[in-house]
Amino acid sequence: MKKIYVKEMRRLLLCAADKIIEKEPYLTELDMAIGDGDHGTGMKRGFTALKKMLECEEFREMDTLCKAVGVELLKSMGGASGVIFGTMFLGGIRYLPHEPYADCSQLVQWLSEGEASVERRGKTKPGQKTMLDALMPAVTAMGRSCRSSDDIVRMLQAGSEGAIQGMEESKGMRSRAGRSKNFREETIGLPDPGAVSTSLIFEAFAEEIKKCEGKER
Amino acid sequence: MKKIMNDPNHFVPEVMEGILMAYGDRIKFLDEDKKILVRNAPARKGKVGIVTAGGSGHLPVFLGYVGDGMLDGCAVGDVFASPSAKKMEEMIRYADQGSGVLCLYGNYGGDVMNFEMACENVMFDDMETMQVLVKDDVASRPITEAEHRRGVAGMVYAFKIAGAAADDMCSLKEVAEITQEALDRIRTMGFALSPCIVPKAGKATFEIGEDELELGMGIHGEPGIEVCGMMEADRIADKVLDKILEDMPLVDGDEVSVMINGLGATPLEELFLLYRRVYRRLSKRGISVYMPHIGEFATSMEMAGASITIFKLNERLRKYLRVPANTPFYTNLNK
Repeated sequence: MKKIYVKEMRRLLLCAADKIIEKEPYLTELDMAIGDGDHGTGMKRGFTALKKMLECEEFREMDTLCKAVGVELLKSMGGASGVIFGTMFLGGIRYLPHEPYADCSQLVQWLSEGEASVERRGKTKPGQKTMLDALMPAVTAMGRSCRSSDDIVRMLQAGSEGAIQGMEESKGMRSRAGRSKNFREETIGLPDPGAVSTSLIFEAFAEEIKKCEGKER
Repeated sequence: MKKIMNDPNHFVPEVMEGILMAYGDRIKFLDEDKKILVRNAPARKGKVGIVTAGGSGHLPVFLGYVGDGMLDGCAVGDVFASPSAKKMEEMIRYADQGSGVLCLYGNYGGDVMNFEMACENVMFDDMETMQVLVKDDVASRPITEAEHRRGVAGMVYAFKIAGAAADDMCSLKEVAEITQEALDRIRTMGFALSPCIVPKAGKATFEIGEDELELGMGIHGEPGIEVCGMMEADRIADKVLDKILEDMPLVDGDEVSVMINGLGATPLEELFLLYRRVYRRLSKRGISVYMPHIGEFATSMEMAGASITIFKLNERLRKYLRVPANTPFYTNLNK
């Protein structure tokens, strides 16, 4: 698969929304342990609103779709998570084409600029036990895959593996950013809730794109 | 766990409804989902707008200070969570009377990120904004890292000064400078005797032993600097005051305002015990107290405990503290 169409991207996003909504209790439990307990409900609120929007509105171009996604998260979630996940989708929006499809390298540019924007907005780097610890390796893995092959299914699979691995590695980190930094030592051993959410999104993308493969467009 | 509430998911909107029913003659919501609270009466043309925002769960902070002589607007988030940048943006646009808007709020990650985004967005329409962050909690970071300190009860003094400077028709830059000058002279430290319960979580997010108190705990339960055995009121006041004076030395002849702020579940009587000790200690050093503020100004749901704020005055700040302010939750006419 060399191109992803708006219709397929929408399915990926819906799948991500379902996953986040389903995992809300786990995210809440995690954030209760090392944060202030509102990450799960905030994410659920945002992705429920996102799902509703995707079900009601029609999109024709990749950039309009992903911009609407970022704006919806920004608007509905609030908190630090709202800006961060909104920025992940919006930061690199100029790299997505105003066309009904996008290819591997456009997706990589989009998300890697999104990642850089999250770093700037949060004044944080990977390694401080935040969602960046899943996002950065996901984007890096996607970039690597993109350089060796133009297959989107393979690239999103690599992104998912990168995100999960990064999330796992966040378990050993001591929090130095966000509200969980107040619980410093106690955060060691548990993954960062934001990193878990990020890995869920990338997992959903990889799962759903496989189902799109070979289907008529 | 005992808490007066209906469906925890409706906690914040229902509180907002109650507030509107009580004070609808003076304040209103700008949006349907009741997250942007503004004054009913439009501000004077050309006056600098003063706005704030933050999570719910700290009444009267933040929205309680929207009113005459203080804030023009406040965006309200979920309990302990920042409101969205979109809501802040809408509020800033409304508060602009042609002379720009000062965004004055506590130094917390979510609020900073959302306000920065909101300010960038209004900038595209040539709207001028400045941001001043409250970082008065001396226990949150050592003095060498004062830039990263959290904002707590001292922000109420900052709201008062900023509001008075704006009413005095100072420019945006002047209002920001005067407010920063005030903040440079404001220090706060708190202590907690018991935790608070976030409605949706349904249980305390941390614990404090039955016979313990935690010095320097933050207003969301951020860990403090020392857990000690329970002690007498005078000793608690001494410990907190010593820490503040170490950070901001005072000398004979200085004049300060003192705020003794209850965190939600502490009786007023106990706050006056703390004030008594603070007053005595300051008097002994030749420091006079002007317009003491004793009561609940910035709370943390049902947390028991208090915070002490010292605001070192000068002539101008004293004048701006004195100018009358009247909001649904605050007035200085009785102080």
